[in-house]
Amino acid sequence: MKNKRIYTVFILIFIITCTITTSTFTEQVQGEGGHLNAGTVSTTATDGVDAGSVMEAVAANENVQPGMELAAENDFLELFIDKTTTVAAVKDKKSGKIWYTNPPAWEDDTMAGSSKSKLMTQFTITYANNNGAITVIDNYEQSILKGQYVIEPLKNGVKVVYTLGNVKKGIEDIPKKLSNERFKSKLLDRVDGNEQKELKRRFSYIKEENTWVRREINTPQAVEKLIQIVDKAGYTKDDLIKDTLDNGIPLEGIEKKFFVIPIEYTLDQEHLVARIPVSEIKYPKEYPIVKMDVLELFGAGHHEQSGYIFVPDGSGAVIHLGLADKGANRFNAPVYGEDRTMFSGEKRNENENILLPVYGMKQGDQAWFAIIEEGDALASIQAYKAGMQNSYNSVFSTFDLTKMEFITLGNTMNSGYPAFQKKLYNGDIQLRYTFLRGDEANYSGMARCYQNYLIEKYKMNMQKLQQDIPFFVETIGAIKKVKSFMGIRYKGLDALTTYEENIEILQELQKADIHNIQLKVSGWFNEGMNQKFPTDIKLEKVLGGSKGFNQLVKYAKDANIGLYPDVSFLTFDSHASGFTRRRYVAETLEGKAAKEYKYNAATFGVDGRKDEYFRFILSPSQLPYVVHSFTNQYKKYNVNGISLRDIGDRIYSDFNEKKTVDRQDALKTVEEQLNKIKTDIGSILVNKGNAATVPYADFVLNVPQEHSWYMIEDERVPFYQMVFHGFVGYAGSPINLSSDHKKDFLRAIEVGSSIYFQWIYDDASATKATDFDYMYSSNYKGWLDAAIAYYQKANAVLREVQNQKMVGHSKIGDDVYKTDYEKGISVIVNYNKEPVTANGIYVEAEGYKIVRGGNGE
Amino acid sequence: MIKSIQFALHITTHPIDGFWDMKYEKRGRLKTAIFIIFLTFMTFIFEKLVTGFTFHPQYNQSLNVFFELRKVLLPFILFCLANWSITTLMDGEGKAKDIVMAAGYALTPLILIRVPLAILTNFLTLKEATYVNMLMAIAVFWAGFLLFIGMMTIHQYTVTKTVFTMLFTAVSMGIIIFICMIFFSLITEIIGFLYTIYNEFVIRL
Repeated sequence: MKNKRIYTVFILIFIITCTITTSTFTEQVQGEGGHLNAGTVSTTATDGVDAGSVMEAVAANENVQPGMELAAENDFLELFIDKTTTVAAVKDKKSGKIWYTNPPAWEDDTMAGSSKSKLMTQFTITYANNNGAITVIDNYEQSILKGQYVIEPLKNGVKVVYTLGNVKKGIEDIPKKLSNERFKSKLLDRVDGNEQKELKRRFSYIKEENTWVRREINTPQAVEKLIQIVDKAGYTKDDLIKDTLDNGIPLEGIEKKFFVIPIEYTLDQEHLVARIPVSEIKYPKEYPIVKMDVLELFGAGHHEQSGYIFVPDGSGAVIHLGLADKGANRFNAPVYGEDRTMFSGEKRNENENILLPVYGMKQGDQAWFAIIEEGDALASIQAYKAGMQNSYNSVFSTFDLTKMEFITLGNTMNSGYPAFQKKLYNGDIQLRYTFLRGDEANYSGMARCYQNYLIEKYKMNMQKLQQDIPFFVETIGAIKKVKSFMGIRYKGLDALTTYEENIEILQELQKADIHNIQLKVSGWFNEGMNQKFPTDIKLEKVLGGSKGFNQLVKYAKDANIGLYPDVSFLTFDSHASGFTRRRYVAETLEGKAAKEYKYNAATFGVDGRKDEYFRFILSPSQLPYVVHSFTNQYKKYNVNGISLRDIGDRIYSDFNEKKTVDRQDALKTVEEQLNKIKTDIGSILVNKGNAATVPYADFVLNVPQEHSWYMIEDERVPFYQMVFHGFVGYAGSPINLSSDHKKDFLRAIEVGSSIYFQWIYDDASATKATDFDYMYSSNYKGWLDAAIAYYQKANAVLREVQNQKMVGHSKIGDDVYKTDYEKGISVIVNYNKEPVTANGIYVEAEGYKIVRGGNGE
Repeated sequence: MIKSIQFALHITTHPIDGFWDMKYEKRGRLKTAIFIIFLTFMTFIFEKLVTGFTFHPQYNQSLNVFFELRKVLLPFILFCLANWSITTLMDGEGKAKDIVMAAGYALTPLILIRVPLAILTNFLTLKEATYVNMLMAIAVFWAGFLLFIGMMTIHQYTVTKTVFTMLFTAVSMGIIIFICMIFFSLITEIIGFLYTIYNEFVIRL
């Protein structure tokens, strides 16, 4: 009996102690958090948010992980959040599938090793110090585990504000050194006797300087005690800064490194919107956030699941879920290609660019699909296969918030020091997730989903049904060439196709009964292909001058042929005159003129630094002026079409200290100018158009037909084409310059592309030993018959589907693909060298077949 | 004019006599020597333009006169400079003018042989390349022989001394080129250094 009572007492005491310790700890965190940062930091997992507000327990739902609470709900989705881990989840009401921001079974991961906790992060930031050394931290270790977060309810959602880093007071909050007078007035006189003794013990007086210096303190308990005393004395941060500065100690030692980053999840109809308001991000000035990986493990797929990751590399590519192959690297590519304003000394591969800011993943018969709505120009898309980091396949986006570049002085490679972007990005980061199921849960469904999004955003319209599909011809006007006068060399203009010769080519095509001709005229003004600054239009004499050009315009108009003279707005020849470098040329982080270099395929390096090897990059802030001056002069030629050589696929920023334009702003400027060009001139043809430019264009050329063939990628998919088919006319790269034109033709049939040729009137040998020697197979006479034949074959197939949506695409055999259109027409293409029978349909070797009615299954 | 050309031909066939006359009978003309150099330059261009396809691998490359000029003038100037420097130290009697004249006259066989040879290549096949090469070699050796005799005569050297001075000339030509290269790379270094300082000023301030 007695024993029992003693045990009970013991247990009681134990419980009480536990309670007290926990509660004081909680108070401490709360108190200090508030002290430092006006209330953004507080709460452990259990308290802090008013439980009575939006949150209500949904124990009834058996699917959701225990501990998750409903945060918002609409007709399509339910949003849950786990208040102890801040893991969010969305339930698709139609299918009942739940998508988590982090894999629920994370603790069982056997491949993650020491980086297991990485599976629980919602974002990872990379920050730099002023030496350019970077540190990577994530919100799980630096915020969630420390309990430094606040969950706030939002209308239709929830907001989590994370504080990363050390917010507790430490030794750095006690002054290292302070004058005798201040030591007495600020500290000593404000506390009691015992504490005074303690202070005197911890500081030593130096007579010569009449100052007090802090002694080394070894135990954390002593530090804590001292902090309490200093706090009690009312010693503030300002005092600390003053004492530090007065005694010539650098401020860095006392600066606290912490980052406040909010993330919002809201439900918008069928979509989950994840948003990071960049303006609400707080970070120490000395430690700019360079990069931010967002929702790295959203909907991550375990390697045992079936399905694939979709990445928009080139036309699109899928990565099958599963374990990574040996030697395969992660997928990592910048959206809209690289920013050439950032100088890069080498370029290792010529790859396809990402043109659309989207990605997604299919798991079983479910899929999710993400659109980067804001911050897309700063984003990169990354994909990992299982086995690279952990046992999950993941795809996510990373945002470059502050651009950083190492500047090397002199020619030593190691003595670089970093330069940072001066004005920071002031927009938001916003991701829109959509959930697909059943028949829709594949890349065709994702394409349709993105198509609907674009229709709503840009009010894109379907094209009118033409009698025939367009036949795209590009002719090259004048090129610069080394010429020789009595053995003295000089660079001069050489006409490859004059204005009148264009007419001749058009007549040949018309003779062959081709009616829907779209003519792109390149290199037609201001020194031809090496086009100079375009604010003044000077028609070249060698091409026939203004008389010839007007004739061409008139002929095209009378014959109802689309005429698209090509102009390069974003880059211009370095020999150009008529511009002030300081004003018009973008600057690199180093403060130098930004240039687009040519890279050498053999050395990977910049191909010489001579003038002819680069083009200047226009500052986006000057684009409105340049476009305005150009269109004003262009109007008098009465052409209502224009081809944009570089606006379609390039976005460059300007790091000029006074007028920094980040990439997102540049994208915005480009969109505004496209709108202006459309109203001022009319029809637009772009090169490799990206998501922001295609909605303004009527035609797109050089559309990627492939992905980059990275090792991690398994198959190519015509995602780009599925999004835009029926809305714009498009074609891949010129068939005559292709290494395998038969294959390219089949590809055109498969992805619904028109036929595109790049021709010159002169002999192809005229391009020999020039920068344009890639056009070795471009004389129009040699290609005319083949072109007409290809066009007629393609026209027979694609004519009737030209203004239909491409609703499905699938691989139905080895190198056999089937493309489905809206109204029940399917095209099966066989790339094999022997005939195949796929889905019961016989298709000839290297041939194709149209299947009507039903969906051709 | 005709007399000067006759004299040049006389030198090519009777070098010992000819060079003696050139210097001590004052029959040589600096103008003629320069004219012969010019003709040599023209011969090089003529070769580029006329030589038959089979004997001319860079047939369709456009001609660069400055490159051809460099090919003739640079070695000539180098030789004269080096030879003058060496022979001055080695008690040569020839003045700078004599050296230029002798070297100039010595080039005559190049013109005499290579111009007709260039025309001839249009009618020869690759099998007959041996003859072309032989004639080329003869032209060069003949010119070299003339140069040797010329130097011996104008400096009043013995054969062995001439051999040595010619060797020294070759070496000092190399040294001159070497010094020039060092000089240029030094200049580039200095420019690079100044550029770095400028950079540092602009970026750090």
